[in-house]
Amino acid sequence: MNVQDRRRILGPIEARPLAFPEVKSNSKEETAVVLSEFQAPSIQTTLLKNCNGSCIIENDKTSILSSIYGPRSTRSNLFEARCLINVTIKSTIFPTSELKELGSFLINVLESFVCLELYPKAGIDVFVNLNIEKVCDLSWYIPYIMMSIVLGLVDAGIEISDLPGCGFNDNNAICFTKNGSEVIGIWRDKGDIENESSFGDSLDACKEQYLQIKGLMANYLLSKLDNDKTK
Amino acid sequence: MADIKESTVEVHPVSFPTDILARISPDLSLQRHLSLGFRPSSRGFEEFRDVIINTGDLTHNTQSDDSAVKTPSNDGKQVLGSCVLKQGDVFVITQITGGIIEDITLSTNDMEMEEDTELLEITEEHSDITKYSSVYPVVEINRGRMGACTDEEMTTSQRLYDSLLHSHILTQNALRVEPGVRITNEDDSVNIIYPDSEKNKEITSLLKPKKKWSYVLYAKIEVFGRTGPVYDMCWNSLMAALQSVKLPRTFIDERATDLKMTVRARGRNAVVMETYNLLCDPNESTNLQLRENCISYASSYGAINLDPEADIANLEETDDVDAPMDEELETKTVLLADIDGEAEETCIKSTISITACPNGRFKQFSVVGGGAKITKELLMRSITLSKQRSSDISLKVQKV
Amino acid sequence: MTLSVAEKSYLYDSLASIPSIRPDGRQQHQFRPIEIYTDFLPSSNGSSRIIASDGSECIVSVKAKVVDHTIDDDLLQIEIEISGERDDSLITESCTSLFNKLLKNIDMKKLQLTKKYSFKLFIDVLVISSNSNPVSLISFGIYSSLNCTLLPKLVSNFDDLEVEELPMFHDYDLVKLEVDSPLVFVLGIVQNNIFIDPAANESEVANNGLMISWINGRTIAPMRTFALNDTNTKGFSPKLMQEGIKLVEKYAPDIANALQNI
Repeated sequence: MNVQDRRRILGPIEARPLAFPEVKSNSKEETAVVLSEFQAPSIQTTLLKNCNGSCIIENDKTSILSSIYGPRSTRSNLFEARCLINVTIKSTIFPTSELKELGSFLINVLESFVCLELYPKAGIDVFVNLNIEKVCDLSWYIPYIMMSIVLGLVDAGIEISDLPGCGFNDNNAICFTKNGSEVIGIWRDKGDIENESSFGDSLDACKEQYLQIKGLMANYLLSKLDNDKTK
Repeated sequence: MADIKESTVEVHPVSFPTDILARISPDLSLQRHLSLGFRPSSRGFEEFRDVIINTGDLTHNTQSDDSAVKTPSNDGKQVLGSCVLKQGDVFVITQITGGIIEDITLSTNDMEMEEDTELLEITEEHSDITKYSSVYPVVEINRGRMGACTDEEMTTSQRLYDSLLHSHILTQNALRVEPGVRITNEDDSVNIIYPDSEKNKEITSLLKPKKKWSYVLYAKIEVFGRTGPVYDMCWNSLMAALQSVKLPRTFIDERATDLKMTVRARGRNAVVMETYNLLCDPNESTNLQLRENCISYASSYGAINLDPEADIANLEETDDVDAPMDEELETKTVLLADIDGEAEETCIKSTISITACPNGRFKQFSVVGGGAKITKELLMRSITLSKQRSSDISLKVQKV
Repeated sequence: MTLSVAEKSYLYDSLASIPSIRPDGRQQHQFRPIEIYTDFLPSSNGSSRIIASDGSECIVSVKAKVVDHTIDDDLLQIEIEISGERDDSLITESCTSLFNKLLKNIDMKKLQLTKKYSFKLFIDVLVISSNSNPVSLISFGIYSSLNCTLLPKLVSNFDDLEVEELPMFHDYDLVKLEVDSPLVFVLGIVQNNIFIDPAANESEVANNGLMISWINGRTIAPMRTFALNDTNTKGFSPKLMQEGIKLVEKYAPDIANALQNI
C-alpha cells in the first residue's frame, strides 16, 4: 500500500530501518532445538480492568497477554443463534498474514470447546499480544498462546466444555481435549512426515505435554480459588 | 378533596447499590465519596497511584543474566529500549525502535553555513528548536476494538511528540551517527574500527564518507486496561524507556567507502550519488545521551467544587428548608491528584497538567478552566505535589 | 449451502455410519470430477483453468522474470485473489500465507539459470467461484499450470561468475519447466470416518477438516486442521490423523499422475 497513514505520526518516509549484518544461521538452529523443551511459565489472570478476562503467560523470552472481551452484543443486525468468536493476534515479529492464518486456526479450535450456543446474538473477541523475542517459529508459541486464551476465557467466566491445551513436538503443535482422547487442532509448518509411526511418537509426546499443561492450568485455577475463598 | 387525598401515590425512595449508582449518576456518587473525605477508588485527595517501572528488557526475568555481560550488546534486536509501567491497574508497554536517515541539510550546507555566520545569527533564535529532536510516538490503547485509531490515541501521540521536542531533552547531536569502518585484514579476519581513540580517528577520517546520518527513534506505546486518562503514564513510560535506549554502533564496509555510482536522473542531468550501506553492529552499542537535567515526569490534577447538597454528614441539617441557603452553600474546591476511574474522568472538567523535573524545573504546565474555581492555593499545591511526584518517579526509574 | 435440520441429521448419520455412505455415492478416497484446461493465456508462461463439478472455478497464471538470485533469493511469489473477498480478509490472507509456506517445498535449484541468475516465478491465482474450501482446487491449478510452464531456452554460458554477462535466450525455443509441485488434500471428518474432498453439503455437517500436503511421494508441511463449518466443529480421535495421512499417501500418486498427463 502506498497510502501514508496521516492519522499517526510515523516520522520521515526516507528513514530506513536499522540493518544488522546477517548472523551465521548455525547457532540459531541449535538454540531452536534446545528451546523446543517445554518450560513451565508463570501465570497470572485478572490483570486488566477494561476487559472481561485476561491472562498473561510469561517465561524468559516470551510474554503472551490475552484479553477477552465478551460475550457482548455484536454490531450485525442478523440473528445469530450462536456466539461469534474472533481472534486477533498482534506481534511485531511475524508477518500479518501469518498471524491472521493462526488467528483463523485458533477460531476453529475455540469453536470446538467453547459453549457457543449459550450466548446467542453475542460475540467474543479474543486479543492476543505477543511480546516476544524471536527464538523459534510461530508454531512453537502455540501451546503458550492456547494456555493464555483458555485461562483468559475462564477468567471471563465464559463456559467451556473442557480445559483443552496444546503440545509441541517435532514441528507439530497439536491441540487436545478430553484428556487426550480427542484432537481439536493440528498445526505443522515445516518438515516432512517420514512415516506414520514417527508421527505417532510425536503425537504421544504432544499429548504428554498437553497433560502437563493441563495440570499446570488446573493447579493455578485451584490455588486461585483457594486464595479467593480465604479472602 | 377527599377523593384526591385517597388517590395520592406514596413515593418510596429508590436505592441502588454503590457500583450501580456510580454508573447511573457518577456525579452524585463522586460527590458523596468526596464528602466523606476520600475518592471512589478509596484513595485520599492528594494520593497518587503506585507506579511500578521496569525498563530495559521487555520480559523481566532475563535481567539478572544480562547484567553479567560487561559490554552492552543488543544481539541484533530491533527494540533499542523499552519500559513496562504499571500504574494502578493500567499497564503501559513502550518499545523504542530506530531507523537511520541521511542528514541532507547537514551534509550539503555544512560548508556554506560556516561562512554565513551573520545569517546564522539571525536564524538562530528562530531555529532554536531545530537543535532538538523528538521521537515519533504511536500510542495504542487496547479496548477490544479493531480498526482506525481513536481521537484519544491521535491527540496523545501528538502531545507526546510536541512535549518531547519542546522539553529539549534530546539534541540533534545525540542522534548523530558516527559510523566506523569495517576492515577485512589480509588473513580474512574482520574487525571494525570506531573513531574512539586518536589513532582510530585518523584511520576512519581517511576512509570516512562525507555524508552524515542521524538516528530516528520511534516509540510504540501500548496501553492495556485503560481506566482513566493515559497521557501521564505514556509520558512517564516514554521517559523511562528513553533512558534505557542503547543505540547500536554502525559501520560501513571499507570496500563501500570509495564506492561511487553514477545515476542518471531525469534524462540529461547526470548526478553523482554515493550510496552506502550502513550496517549496525550487533555487539557494540552506546547509551543514548539525554540531557539529564531535562528529564521530567508528568502528573495531573483535577479541581472540583464540592457540592454541599451531596454532603451526607449535613444531610439531616439541610433537610430544614428554612435555613439560610447562602451561608451554608459556600462552594469549596478541592484538588484531586492523579485522576483515574470513570466517575472522576467524566465529572472533573477542570484539570491541571504539569510536567516537572525532579529539581523543580517545569517543562510543561497547562490548566483547563472548566467550571471549578481554581485558586492560587490550588495551583501552588499542585506544583508542590508535582515536584514530589517527579522525584519519586525518578528514584524508581534510577533503581531499575 | 443451507440445509434444514432434518437434512443435516440424515446426512450426518449416513456419513457417520460404518461403512460411511456419501450423498453422491463416492468412495472414501474419490474426488469429484474436475475439468482442467491448460495453457490458455497467451501472455503468460504457463496457465490453467480448473473447474470442479460443483461450479467452483479457479484460474492460475505463471509468469517468469530473470533475477539475480544473490540479491533476491525469493524465487516464488504467489498472489491469491478470491472473488467476493477483500484482499485483507481472513480467508484470503490465510490462504496466501498457507501457500507461501507450501511452495517453500518446491526445489528452487530447478529455477537456476546460471551461477548468478535465476528465473523468478510469479504465480497469480484467481478463485472465480468456490462452493467449498478452495485450497485443494488452488493446489491442483498451480500443479497443472507449473506442469505446462514453458521458459525461454538459455543459449549463453552457464558459468557467468568470471565473465560479466547477462543470460541470453534462444529466439523461439522454449524449455519445459521440470519441477515437482505440491498438492493439498482436504479431508472431512465425521465422527470416526475420514474422507477426501468433502463437497459443500458434506462440509456443512463435518465435525472437522484436515489438510494434508504432499509432494512427489512425501507427506510434507504445512498440515492443518480447519473447521469446514462453524456449527458442528468438534474434536476427533487422534487415530484419524494417521488414517488420513495413510489415505493421502496411498492415493496421491494416482492423482499426481492424472494431473501430469493432461
